[in-house]
Amino acid sequence: MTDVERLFRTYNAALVRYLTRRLGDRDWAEEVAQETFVRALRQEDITNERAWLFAVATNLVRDEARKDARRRQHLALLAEQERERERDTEPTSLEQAQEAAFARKAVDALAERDRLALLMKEEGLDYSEIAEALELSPGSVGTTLSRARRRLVETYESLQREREMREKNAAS
Amino acid sequence: MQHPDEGTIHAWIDGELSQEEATALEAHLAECAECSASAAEARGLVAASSRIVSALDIVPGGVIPAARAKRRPWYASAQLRAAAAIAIVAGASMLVMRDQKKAAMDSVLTVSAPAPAHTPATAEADNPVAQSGVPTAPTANAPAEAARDLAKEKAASTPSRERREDQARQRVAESPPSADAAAPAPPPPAMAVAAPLARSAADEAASTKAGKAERDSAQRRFSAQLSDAVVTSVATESAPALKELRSDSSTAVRETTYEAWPGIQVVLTDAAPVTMRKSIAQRAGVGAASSAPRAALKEARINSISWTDKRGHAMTLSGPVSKEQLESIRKLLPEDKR
Repeated sequence: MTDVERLFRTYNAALVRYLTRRLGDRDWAEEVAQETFVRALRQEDITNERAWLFAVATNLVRDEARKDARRRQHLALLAEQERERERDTEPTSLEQAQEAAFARKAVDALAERDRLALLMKEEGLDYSEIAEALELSPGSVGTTLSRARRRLVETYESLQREREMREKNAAS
Repeated sequence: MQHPDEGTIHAWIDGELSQEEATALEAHLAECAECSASAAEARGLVAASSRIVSALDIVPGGVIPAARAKRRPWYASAQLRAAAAIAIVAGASMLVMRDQKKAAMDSVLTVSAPAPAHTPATAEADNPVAQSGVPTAPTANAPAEAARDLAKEKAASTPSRERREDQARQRVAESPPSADAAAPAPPPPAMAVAAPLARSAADEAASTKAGKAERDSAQRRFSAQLSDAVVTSVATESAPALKELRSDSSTAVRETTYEAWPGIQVVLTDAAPVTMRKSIAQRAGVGAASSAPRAALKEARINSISWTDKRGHAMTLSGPVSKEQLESIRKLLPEDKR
């Protein structure tokens, strides 16, 4: 097994999940992940593989977002069509769909750095890896994460409360 | 140690503090109620954020609107069968309750309960007319006769019958002592009181205030559905108290019968998600009920409510009570099923 194969097998699932959560688009996420592994091929020595891969993937997202908005729109359209197809085969319950929508909104409402740190943490990166990938000081990761978590939960809960209020008003 | 900041507490929860730092922090938490509360809150935030981030992975595969859900054959079938079964059971209980003339009776509604016909063979056996070979006139005596027929049928019931239906018939069979063979033991006191009523439903109905209207209504229903047993059910306003009577998990759909009010039973249908649906759909193809029982059920005011519980199971609660009352029953279910 070549080194890039090993990297791919070890990190692809986590990387794609991280990117999908970040981008809200699975196709796009897989594309970025593949590009990340291609870059890894060219890289001579990587000290911390996971931190490096997540950092490169994060930068690729940032770069691509800048230069290729048009292609992204196309991919978003494809993803939407894909979802339309899935809609007929695997229906989600109302609660689940609602939960997913609120989660998306709450995650999107975070500051970029907070969001990335949280998503990386959820993929198992430790504080030093997150610090390396995001070029943060290791001492500030705890603060970043605590802020991200608090805001995420607060936003999510306020979205839920709003819905409950709407439902109550609709019922009365 | 000074009060730790929120970031340090999160780092501690994430296992990112050194051994020394962690020990110092833990010692502080043990004696500082304020920081201990902060740590508890932080734990909640860590867990909640994980859950929210995981919710991002739910592919928004479309929502099942209520109308669309009704079209599903497995769903409709499970609901119908459950509703038919409880209509019989609840109805039989009502025959008893009515005679006791409980002060708690607030409203009276008439329930028409079809005997479910799953296969051509059982359909024939379920139909009193087909069984006796004598065309039964649609009179108000029919409930008692239907009960006797059900009792006969029970004696000759095949092993393939669902246990639930057997139990339902047994309840029907036990109330009239005149019913043939099926109830050898002397009925308990309550049943004995109910006996005259069951022998002649028409006489009893006439003795109540709404008797005339009820009898007419019953006759009309029997014109349409000869195989139906007409029973009267009583809804009560008092708070329900759930008592699990039985649970049938022989299929992918678990059906649990609860007694919500004395004599009023509701059925909880618990369908596991996605992976099991195929087999349920196949079962539904075999057991698909005709449209006649469906129409009768609508008329019988068997209400049902559906939701998806925390495990992702499609839950349906049905019974001869209002939707509001079903909602109040739902609140009494175990938390993971609500």
